[in-house]
Amino acid sequence: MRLGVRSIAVIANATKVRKRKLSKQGIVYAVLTPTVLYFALFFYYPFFTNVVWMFTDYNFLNSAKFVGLKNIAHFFDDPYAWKALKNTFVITLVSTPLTLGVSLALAMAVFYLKLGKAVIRGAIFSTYIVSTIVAAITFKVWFNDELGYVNSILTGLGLKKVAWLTDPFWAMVAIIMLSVWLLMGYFMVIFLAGISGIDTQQLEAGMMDGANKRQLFFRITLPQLKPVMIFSSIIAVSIYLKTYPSVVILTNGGPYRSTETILMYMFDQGFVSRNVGYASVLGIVIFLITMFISLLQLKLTKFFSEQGG
Amino acid sequence: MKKLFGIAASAILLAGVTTACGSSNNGGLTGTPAPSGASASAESSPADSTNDKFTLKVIASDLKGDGLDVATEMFKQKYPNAEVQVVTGGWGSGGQDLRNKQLIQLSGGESADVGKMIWGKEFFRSGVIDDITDAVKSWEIYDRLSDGQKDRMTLDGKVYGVTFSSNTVYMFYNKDILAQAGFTEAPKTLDDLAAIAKKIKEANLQTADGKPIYATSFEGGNWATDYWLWANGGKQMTDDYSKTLIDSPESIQAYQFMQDFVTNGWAPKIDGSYDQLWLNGQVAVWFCGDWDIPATINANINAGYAPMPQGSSGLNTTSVGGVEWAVFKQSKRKKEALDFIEILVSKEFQLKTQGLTTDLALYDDPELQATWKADGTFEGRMAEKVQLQNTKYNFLEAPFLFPDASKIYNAALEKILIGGADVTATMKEAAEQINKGIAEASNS
Repeated sequence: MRLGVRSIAVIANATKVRKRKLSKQGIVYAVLTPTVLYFALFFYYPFFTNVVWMFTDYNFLNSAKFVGLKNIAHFFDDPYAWKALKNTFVITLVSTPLTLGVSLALAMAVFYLKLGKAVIRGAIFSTYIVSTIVAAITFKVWFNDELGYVNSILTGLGLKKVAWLTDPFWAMVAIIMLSVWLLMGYFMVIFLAGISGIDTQQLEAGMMDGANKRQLFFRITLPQLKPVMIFSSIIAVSIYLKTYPSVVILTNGGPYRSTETILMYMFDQGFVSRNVGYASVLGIVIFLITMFISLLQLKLTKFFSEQGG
Repeated sequence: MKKLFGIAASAILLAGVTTACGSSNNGGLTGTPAPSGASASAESSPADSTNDKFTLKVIASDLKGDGLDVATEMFKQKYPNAEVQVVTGGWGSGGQDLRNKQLIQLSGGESADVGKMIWGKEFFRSGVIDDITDAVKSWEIYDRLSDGQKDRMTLDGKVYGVTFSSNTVYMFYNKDILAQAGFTEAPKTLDDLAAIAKKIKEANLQTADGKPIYATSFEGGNWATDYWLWANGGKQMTDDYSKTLIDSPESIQAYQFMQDFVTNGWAPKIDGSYDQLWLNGQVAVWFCGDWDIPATINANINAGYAPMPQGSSGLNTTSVGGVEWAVFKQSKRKKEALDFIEILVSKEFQLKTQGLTTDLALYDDPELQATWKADGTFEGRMAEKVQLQNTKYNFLEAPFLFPDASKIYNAALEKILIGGADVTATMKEAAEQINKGIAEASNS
């Protein structure tokens, strides 16, 4: 069958389109491949290896021995693991609302500043840039019972010294203060971006209707910041569930293991005790808890969005 | 195309996981333990020639701090064509960083020839370092090592490592504080120290800027504070390390003595300030080692140094410190590795490094003494020389049977010295957990 000029042109055009599509796809795969390989090598591979090691008795020095559910059963009757989980939840459940509250307050204050806005915003954000180790060492000096600046100020004001790092309650308070300090700059910037996107016409309408500042904030500003709040809470929870270096430096899990977090305990079990199988169980537990909480938050997000209309 | 990409990605993942399962030295499910230690002295490099070109790998914490630059120079005199490759791992967290690095090397199937460690008993029991008994016992220095030093490097009568740069804690005392309290001499017994403590408290002594003064401090971890246990007749472990004795009546009495110091305000609660109170001039008697002498001099403390006071048992035993050098089982250069270690404990090396002293006889060497007099550490070193004769291995510093024991014990010490908890109940609970863990580890 002979092809007419028009048919040849159509076929040539289709070929060009297909080549363009393939070339675009090729670029996409070329860009994605290193990322996929990176995640496969540094996230998925270790994760699946952990799942395998959960069922073994492995100590780095000898070959792994299959032990079935022994490590999982041990987790359920290990008081140190449950105490560490409890400490982690306390840090997370107290630090998250505190951090978001402080960050929002700072964002509102900075947003309405007239003078020195950039400098103050930069100064507060710098708390996020400071390395966790440096911040923890500084807090350790500030909150030292005998020699710390905080106790010097308290005694100077005629108050009693606080056993910041030698009393379990106050040690936890010091850790929470450090946790809030480390992230307040980061979330302040996120909230600032959210506040900048608020519909000012609604605010003006509210003001014309006679609403005071408190009413404007709770009835107009806060509802419009809901997506930012939810996003921030998910991020904050997943960060605080993995609290580790700040506690190691500030209290090293003390006094007498009263501030030990689950990640610290996992690291100790894996590297100090060489109980890699059991450490893998703890790692999977952390993963499941983080995933469950994130899914719950997303569900709640959807629920509240549907409610709000 | 998408399907192909997905299949390829899944295949990579699967291949990775099965590689992890299959590798015998990398978490594989073969169920075969590595063989236990066997003598290294017979196995050596294929050729005995000293002109061989080879690389000796050493894993340590600090090239200069461990004198490895000096040792390498000396090693190359015997093996001119050899290279010494030093891998450093840092000594953070009491050596844990270096230990983790060694564990990762070993689990990856690759190890150095020579390694620095304080966890030698643990590694020897796991079969990753060699039995070097025959070689080491033939060395001149062996007979001059103290019982405590030999204890550090031996397990079940077999030598697995060579102790290096031995040290211990001894008494630093602040002459000015003692004078203010009416004492002209350092305490010779713990009862003397208690008397000093009472006087300091009654007189409410303070520093020039109004800070409180204490008799002593319990900072430093159990390696430093277990002196109090032994001096007052307590014991950490049975002789075969199968059971802990921290809940025996004598041990309880010793811990109670320590707690009373804190309750009476004679010692502060442990809060991580470590030596800062001593350097501030707030502590009358501080139990520490020669590593704190330079800071003491810089802080202008009018300090004296002496062996530890005797306790109610008549003893003043302290933990023997230092590290061990061991030969890894995977080494293909065992003879050369042993030669390198022998250099590290040789007289020539110790004189050249002027501080990394293992041979206690060298404390009398005029050249070393002259160096110590010049840098102001002589008096401290002489106190250390006497104290090193009364040292023992501290099992709970690096418990090889049940590593968690160290954490359980330190938490119990903190409970009684910080939390003021009941001594008997706390130590009984800790002892139960430690004994249970040791029993399980011994049976596995």
